[in-house]
Amino acid sequence: MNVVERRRLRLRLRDLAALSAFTAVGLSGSVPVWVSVLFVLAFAISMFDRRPLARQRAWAVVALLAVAVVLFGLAFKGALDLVVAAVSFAALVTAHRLVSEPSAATDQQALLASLLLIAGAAALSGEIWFAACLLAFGVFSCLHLGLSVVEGPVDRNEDLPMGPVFRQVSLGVGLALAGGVAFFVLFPRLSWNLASRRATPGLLGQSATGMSDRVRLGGGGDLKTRARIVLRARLQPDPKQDELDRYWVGRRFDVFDGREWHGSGVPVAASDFVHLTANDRRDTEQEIEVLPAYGARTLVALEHPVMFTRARATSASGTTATQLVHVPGEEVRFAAEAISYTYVAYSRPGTWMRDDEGERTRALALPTIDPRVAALAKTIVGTETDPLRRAHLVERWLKTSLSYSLELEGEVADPLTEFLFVRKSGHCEHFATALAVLLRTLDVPARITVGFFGGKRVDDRYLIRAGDAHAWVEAWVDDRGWVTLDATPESGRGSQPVALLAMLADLGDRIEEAWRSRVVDYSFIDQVQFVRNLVRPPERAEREGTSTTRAPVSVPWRGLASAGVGLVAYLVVRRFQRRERLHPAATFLARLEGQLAQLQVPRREGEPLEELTRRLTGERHPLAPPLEQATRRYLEARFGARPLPEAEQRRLLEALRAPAQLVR
Amino acid sequence: MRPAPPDLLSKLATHLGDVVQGKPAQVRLALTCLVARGHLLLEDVPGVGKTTLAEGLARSFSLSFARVQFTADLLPSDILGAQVFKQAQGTFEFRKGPIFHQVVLADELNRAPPRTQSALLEAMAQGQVSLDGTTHDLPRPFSVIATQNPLDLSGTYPLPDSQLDRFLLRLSLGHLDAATEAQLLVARRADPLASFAPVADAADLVFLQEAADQVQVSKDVADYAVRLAAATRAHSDIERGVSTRAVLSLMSAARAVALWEGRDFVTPGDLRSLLVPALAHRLLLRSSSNGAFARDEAGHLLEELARQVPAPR
Repeated sequence: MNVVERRRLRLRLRDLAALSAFTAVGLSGSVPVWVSVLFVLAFAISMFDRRPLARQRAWAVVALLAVAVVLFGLAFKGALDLVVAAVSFAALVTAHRLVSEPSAATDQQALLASLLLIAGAAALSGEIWFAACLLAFGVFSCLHLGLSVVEGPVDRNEDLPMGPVFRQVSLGVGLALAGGVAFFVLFPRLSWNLASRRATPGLLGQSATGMSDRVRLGGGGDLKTRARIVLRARLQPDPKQDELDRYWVGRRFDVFDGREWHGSGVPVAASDFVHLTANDRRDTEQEIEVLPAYGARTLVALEHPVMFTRARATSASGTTATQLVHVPGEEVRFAAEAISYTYVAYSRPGTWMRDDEGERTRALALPTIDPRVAALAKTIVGTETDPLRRAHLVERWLKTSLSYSLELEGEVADPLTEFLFVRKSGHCEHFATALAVLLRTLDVPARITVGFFGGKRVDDRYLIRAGDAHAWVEAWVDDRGWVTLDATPESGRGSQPVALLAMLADLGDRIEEAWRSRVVDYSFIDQVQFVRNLVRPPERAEREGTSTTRAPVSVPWRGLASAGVGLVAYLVVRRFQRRERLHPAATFLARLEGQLAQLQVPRREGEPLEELTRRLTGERHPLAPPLEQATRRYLEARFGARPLPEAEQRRLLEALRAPAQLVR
Repeated sequence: MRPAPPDLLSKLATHLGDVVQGKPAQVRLALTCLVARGHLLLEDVPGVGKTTLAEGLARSFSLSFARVQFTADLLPSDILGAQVFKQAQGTFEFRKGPIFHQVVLADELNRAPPRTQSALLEAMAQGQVSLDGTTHDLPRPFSVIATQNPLDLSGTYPLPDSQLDRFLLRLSLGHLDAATEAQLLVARRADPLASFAPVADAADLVFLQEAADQVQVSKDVADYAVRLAAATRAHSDIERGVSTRAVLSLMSAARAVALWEGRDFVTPGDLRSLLVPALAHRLLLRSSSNGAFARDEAGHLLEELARQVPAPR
């Protein structure tokens, strides 16, 4: 590869490093759009090897300064977060460097500004994609720097075979990244979250659940295939199941107008906690984390929620306690708008006893509907009079007679009759609506509940995906309370990702979980724990089985540790083997050279002993005669098979010392 | 009683130094070449002492010496000899050409046409001459010292690489430094070669050659030579690296060099000191430069390789 191609390659690597850094920031969604546009433009121009700012040095600096004034003015006014302003400026500096005349200094400045971008991105987001960008930045910038170092001693006109160079440089990059990880794991430090200023959910973290304030029938159900995690819950007592097939209640709707459902509750004043029932017997405690992907403010808890408390909201200004708003009969929601939340919920399984005359009345109201619906209900129940059995009959009929489908395109005038009599297939909202309406025609109070069904265990927490969203029915039965009914066939309850997609999503979950627990939430305490576990293997974890606390050293970590030990052992063994392969005379050479260095004998770089001796002899150096003898004996021992006994070695080295004292 | 090889060699070098003044390194290499049973290629401008060196070498060992001036019309028979018809006896008789001497100076070798060049080069390779179905052995020891003028390329037939390969060493004498040149002007009266007496004989040369054969090569040094050769083959600026014959020649020259210091083994330093004279003329460079430029470039490349290839320690 000649000098021009090498230079182009280096610049490409530099640009890619800068792009990775900017992507880390850009994906956090906080950088102003015009900054992104300018950066991408500069990157594209640089990719075409055009440097329009190479000649416009002064103007470019003035423009940058002006931008800096504007950005920090905005920050001062409070219109822009200070970190965002700084990151935007760093992005513009990087962009400017990309389209300036490339030189060693320019490249380094571009990388330095990119490093600032990475630091800013760490504060603005901490998601797994930041890790990917960080990794890309690390690799590209290290390769660029490595190639720059290689470029130094290489002659301009020399062709450089890139294969071996890349092999060596990649080795260095691998070592550097591994060193970075080791530093991160072992060097005492504070938690990453202290610096966090997450202001927006990020471009990749947009809401995906559709937990809106109404349920509209019609349209397909692509939601079911979404694999993004929206909630994470740690349960106490731990059910210790891999698949937690339970209902997570979010919101109840009791008013149906023929096309869509909405709630009718009236909010009461916000408070720090919400009791949903006077009986506060708490059964299952859930520490729930709402991720940015959730995109709604409704609190979710296992069926049936009894109490919500300790809600905290994470927003631009940090994590603060937030109040809860109770809308009786409908939902409990966060008072403050934020990106993510945590709260604790208590639930009691079984039926829901809270009796409210108004709720029951509203759960019977019917819009004008096709008379065939009421007739159908009558046919299904036949002569049965018991409300609970009636409800179960309708539920079973729907489950067995109609099929589950997500492929429903287009809007129809009356989605319910269309579902029951024409298509005979639909998704959970159709089944729930049909069940509720059929029950209402039979004078059984019924309302629909929207939430999630499922929960997959990863480590010690249960994950809820966007695709787990579900709708079902609660029907009022005297003496029993609100009974949960679900007409949706089993196949349609949980999320339905494609098999491969599910596997990838699973892998992604595990990586993301590991990233959060091992990197973002990793703190000094975890470090101490980690080191302690390295020293003393944990017996506790095995005794307790999969306990609620984090398993101290998991199998991959143990594997990694043993691999590391193996590597060290291999290197040590190799080192000793190399020692053994050394010729016995080589140790004499090492001692001789050491002594020469100690005596400060002037020696040219890379000058072999023979040439040094010849030169000193020519210069009539006082050390020349003993050195000549030592060199000769070394050469004889090394290449002439005339061994050099230890005593003679010492004598030869001693002989060098005497004239040295004379020199001094 | 014959002196030890280093004494004999330094005596010869001092003696030769009287006629070829100011060139101790070249004299040393030329003697080494002879001891290694090699042929020597002197590449330099006219008038720097090429012929003097060649003749001095021959005379020091009291070897028979012939000089052939190569020209464009020189025929193989002018060198090798020819069958001459003896009228009186009515038979053909072989009359030996100048090649039947122990040291043959082929002056301006590249001026002769390829046919003549190859006749000489065959004799150099085989140590014998075949003419009309009869094989004539050349005298032993036998060495060819050829000279060529690298700058004056018009009207020459440059030696092909395969033929350059037959020369063990290539040297250029170069101009004298000012002091030596001035001293030469003051001191020089008559032709120094006229009064040049031998200090050794052919038997001494054979003795030295046999002594060189006894010099040992350890495996590490052999590996080093192989690594150096491999480096010339892998270098991106070198079209064709050195051949195995070249490595063999390098090692035989190194054996002769070891004699100078009375060693019976070869050191990496011996190889390094011979790298340029023994290998530079065998490299085919990728760059298009010719003549002296190519020579310098090849020398620089080899010096660079000597620095890069790690020597055994």
